[in-house]
Amino acid sequence: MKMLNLALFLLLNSHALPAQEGSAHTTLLAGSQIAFFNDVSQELICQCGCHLVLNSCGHVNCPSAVPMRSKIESMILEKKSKEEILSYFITEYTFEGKIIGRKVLSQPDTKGFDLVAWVLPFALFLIFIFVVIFALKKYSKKNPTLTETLIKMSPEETKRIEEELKKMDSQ
Amino acid sequence: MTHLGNFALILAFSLSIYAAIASLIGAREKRVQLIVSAHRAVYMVFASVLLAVGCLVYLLLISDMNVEYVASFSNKTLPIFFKFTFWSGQAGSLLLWSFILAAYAAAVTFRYRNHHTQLIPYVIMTVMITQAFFLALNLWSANPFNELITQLPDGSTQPFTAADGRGLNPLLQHPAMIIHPPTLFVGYVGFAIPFAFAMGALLSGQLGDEWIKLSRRWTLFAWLFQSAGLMMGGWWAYEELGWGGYWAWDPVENASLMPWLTATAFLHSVIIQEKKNMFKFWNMTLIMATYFLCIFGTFLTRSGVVSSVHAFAEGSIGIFFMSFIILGMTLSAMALWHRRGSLKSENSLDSPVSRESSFLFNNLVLLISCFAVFWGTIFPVISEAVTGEKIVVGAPFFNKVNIPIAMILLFLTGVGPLLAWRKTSFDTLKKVLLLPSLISVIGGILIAIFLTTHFYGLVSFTLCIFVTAAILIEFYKGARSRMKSQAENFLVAIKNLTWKNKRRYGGYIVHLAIVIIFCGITGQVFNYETKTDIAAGEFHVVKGYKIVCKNIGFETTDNYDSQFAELEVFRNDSRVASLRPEYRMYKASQQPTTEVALYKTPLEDLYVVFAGLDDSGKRLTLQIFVNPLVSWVWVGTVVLVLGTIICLLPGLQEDRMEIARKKETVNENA
Repeated sequence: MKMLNLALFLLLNSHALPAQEGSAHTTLLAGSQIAFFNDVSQELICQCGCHLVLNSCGHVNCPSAVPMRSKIESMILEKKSKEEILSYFITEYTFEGKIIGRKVLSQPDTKGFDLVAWVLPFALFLIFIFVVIFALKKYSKKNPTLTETLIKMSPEETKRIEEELKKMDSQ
Repeated sequence: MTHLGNFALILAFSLSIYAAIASLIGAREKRVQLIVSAHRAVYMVFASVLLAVGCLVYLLLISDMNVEYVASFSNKTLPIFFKFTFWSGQAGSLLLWSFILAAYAAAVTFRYRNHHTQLIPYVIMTVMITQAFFLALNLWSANPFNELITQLPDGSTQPFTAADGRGLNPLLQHPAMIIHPPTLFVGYVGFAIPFAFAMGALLSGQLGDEWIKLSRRWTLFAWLFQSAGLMMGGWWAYEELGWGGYWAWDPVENASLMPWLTATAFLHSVIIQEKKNMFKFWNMTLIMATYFLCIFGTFLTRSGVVSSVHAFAEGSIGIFFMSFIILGMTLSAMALWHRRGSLKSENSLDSPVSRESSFLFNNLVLLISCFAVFWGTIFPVISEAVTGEKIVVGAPFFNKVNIPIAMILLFLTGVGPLLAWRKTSFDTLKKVLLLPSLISVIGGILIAIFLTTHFYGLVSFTLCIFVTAAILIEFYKGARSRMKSQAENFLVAIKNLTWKNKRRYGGYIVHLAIVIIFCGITGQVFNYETKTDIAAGEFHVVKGYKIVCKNIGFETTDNYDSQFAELEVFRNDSRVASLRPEYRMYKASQQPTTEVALYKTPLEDLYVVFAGLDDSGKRLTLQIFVNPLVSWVWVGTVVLVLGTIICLLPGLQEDRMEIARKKETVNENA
């Protein structure tokens, strides 16, 4: 479990592409605040229907992205933490009169059923690798290898097959 | 004209059913006349679907506002250029599917009309079943020829003519949208052909290499168009959506990527079947997965099951798709299981370190990547079913899961071709890996010192150097060998090397293209963006570019009203570009769009978005992005297309076989 937690921590905190300097969505913030603004904006989904992360919605005067970005700006200026900002958007922020809830987040959580989203692809990857290694071992036990077959052949046959294999390698 | 269109669809549907049945009976009872009749029916299906397409285009061109589809996706002032894009809505895009599939079916039928008489009828049957399914959708779920009707107070209905149409979605009014959907569809639909060959092999019992050899070019052709279509979609998103990027992991982008990934795995693993008679069962599974992912992708787009900017409409169409997918998968799996005994490998893997094993690992990584995309795409639906709460799985999830997988894939792209078939000893491995590893380590250190220490950025660039070095060394070795044996100069040797072994060296060029595209994608780690307010006569400096606002203007056309800025861009005091970012409000749809202004160089793009005017109309807000290496993505795509075309060209040996086959046929006929 500790290993799983560590792997998840590394995965979730890796700065996956895209990384960017500056922001096309704020003029109030500067320096490290902009990096923080981008970081938080990556965690939220614009609600206008574009289904893009807040950083990416390109609609001019977007009815969702513009107020959401303003709220993030003001909360950053109030020195709120990332968790506080995200929590506010999940529990209090309304769009078209409704609290958005967890649908405002751009990625699954690392708790409860959401954890399955993160774990399954990598678990499957490990299982596949295990299956491939198992299959390799099984095949090499059951079937004689080409080298073993070659030993049983006459020198002429061996020479011919080696030449054909060389030809195949060069193709 | 709507009656003629409907008649053409009904005729095409009936003929496709007939062609499928006639092919099946003809093949089982060896009745040549029935098979020939099925061939004619296939040609007639193509002619009928072409007629239906012609009718729809005609209705769009004359802006017949009696027709629901025309009124929904066109308007009278829409530029004629866009009126030909009959695939803008759900019904039209399904008709495009049918049209392309009918064209493929006719081409396959014509190409093999006198050959492979046991296999081809089953191939035609499979294609025609798919054809009938899509035509049925057009007839009963999304008919482009439905007329507008209005309900009267007494409950009766009467035809209705709209004053004008709602117009084409402004985001689709872009040159890329003219060619992106047909290109992508040629790829998407094209995978039905290798699938049909696989089913043909299973149903006819012709389970040797024949189906692989016959379908190889069709698969490559489809893969080529799928790749180009995917990238064109990215180009459209980059130039039209105005957010500075080209890939957002939208469900429909994912739907196109998934079959591409499995098809890429298939293209690699069929080489093993051809060379070593292995992976027969696996190859069948891969092409089935590719085909059903294509249908699933179309289902995702049309059903609205997972929300997307591409989703056309929700409705009954989803149930048709799900039924077809479930039934198709069940029948295919049954056929595969029935023939499992004949699909056993005739050889085994000699060593985990060999070309065969590297292909196996490459397949594994591609499939995991495909699964990760699939899983992320459908997870909101699964989450809702399990927890009752629908969540969103956006770009950050896909980036975090897929980037590590992509790094492994990139590594395998470099290592795979260096390994020998059968077995590579540790000494040989050391020998072949030494130089590319050394070059990439030195390159990586230089990148870390001078460019970036961003983890994935550094890993990606280092691996790109590794793969490039590995490929170039392969070319160099081959050329050097020819220079010695054939006394050719280096360039002639490279040309002849590629020409005489198109599959191998064409494949290397495709790998090189993938590296170029990876470099372009990795360029995102240097992205810079800013927002500024500016008035005419003022300037703003961004990353060495001085952007001077010369004028802010307004324009009205029949189609839209526009606000624009005239900008001049200076670099080192020299004027390098004039840019005109625009904000448009389309009249018919009352939808706004931004028209991005771009200054492209090989190393970076200056990307300027008109983000709004203040109340006085004199100060405008600009969003400015400096996006390094984006051109590499497009250049890489062109190289990929060229490499694939080289792979598609017939080889000398194949030419000889083809001539021999033709001679044989002539002799038989004589």
